[in-house]
Amino acid sequence: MKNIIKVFLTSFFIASLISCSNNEESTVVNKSKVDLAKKNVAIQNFRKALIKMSDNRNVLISKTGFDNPVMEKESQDIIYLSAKELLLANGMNENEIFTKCNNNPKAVIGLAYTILAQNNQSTNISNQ
Amino acid sequence: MKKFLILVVVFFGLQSFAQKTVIVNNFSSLQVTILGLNTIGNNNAVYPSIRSVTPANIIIPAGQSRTMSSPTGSLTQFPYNSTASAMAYTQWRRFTSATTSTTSPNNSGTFTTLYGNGQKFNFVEIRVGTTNWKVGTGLNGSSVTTTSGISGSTSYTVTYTENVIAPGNVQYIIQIN
Repeated sequence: MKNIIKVFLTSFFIASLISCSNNEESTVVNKSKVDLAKKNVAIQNFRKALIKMSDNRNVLISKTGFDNPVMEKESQDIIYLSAKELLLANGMNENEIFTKCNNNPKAVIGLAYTILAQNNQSTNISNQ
Repeated sequence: MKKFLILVVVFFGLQSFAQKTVIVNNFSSLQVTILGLNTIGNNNAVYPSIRSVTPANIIIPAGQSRTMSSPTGSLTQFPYNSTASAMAYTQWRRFTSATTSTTSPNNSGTFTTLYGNGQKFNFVEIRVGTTNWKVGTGLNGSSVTTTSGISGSTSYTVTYTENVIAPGNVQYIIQIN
C-alpha cells in the first residue's frame, strides 16, 4: 500500500511538472499558415454565432441539477462550424484539429473560445 | 513492472484532465467592469467560499474578452493562481462564514492550504453601465444565469453557459451582448 501511494505521489509530481511546463502552449498555431484577413473574418463569424446562440438561449440551453446552464447539442450546432473555421484560419489543418480535439465538438468550440480571447479586437457587431 | 504500469496509467490519467477556465466575452457596445470572482466547494455549500481581492477592477472595453485559467492544471482546485491570466488577481480571501475570513497572495506557499480541494466556479460580479450583476451558477441565491438591462438607451443581455469539454475540463462563459 505504501508503495502504491509513493508511486501515485511521484506520478502526480511529474504530471504537475509537465502541466506547468506546458503553460506557454496555448493553441496550436502555425504562424506561416495564418492569413490575418481570413482569421479576422473567422473571429467575427464566431462572435456572431455566439451572439446568435445566446439569443436562442431559452430554448437551446439545458440546466443541470444546480441550475448550471450546460451547452447542449443545439447550441453546439450553431457555433461549431464557425469555431472550426476559426481553428482552420488560425493555422491548424483538419488532421491537427481531429487529433488535438479528439473528435469532440465541444473541444473544438473550447479551442475557438481560447483563440477568441487571445485576439481581443474591439469591433461593433450587430445582432443581425 | 507492476509499479511502472501503475505509474504510466496514473500519469496519463492525470494528463487527460485539463484546467478550468473562466471566459468573459463583452460583445456589447458598453464597457464592462469585472468587480470580482467567487468560488465555492464542489459540495455546493455556501462556505467556505473564496473571493478575489480586487487590486483594481478589470475593465473590458466593448467587443473584447478576458480569461482566467489555471497554470497549475490542478484536478481539484479552481484556478486561483491567476497572475498569468488576463483576469489577474494577486490576492484571494477565504470565507468560512459571513464574518470570518483569511487572505493570502495566490502564488504563496499557503496556496494549497488556503484554498483546499474541490473548489469550483460560482459567479463573477460585473458592472454594466451603472448596474452590478452577479452572474454564474445561480447558487446561494446570489447570482443569475441570464439577465437583461438598459444602460442609458442601450439595452443588453448577460448570459452564463458551461462548456463541459470533458470531466474536469470546463469553460465557464459569461457573455454580454
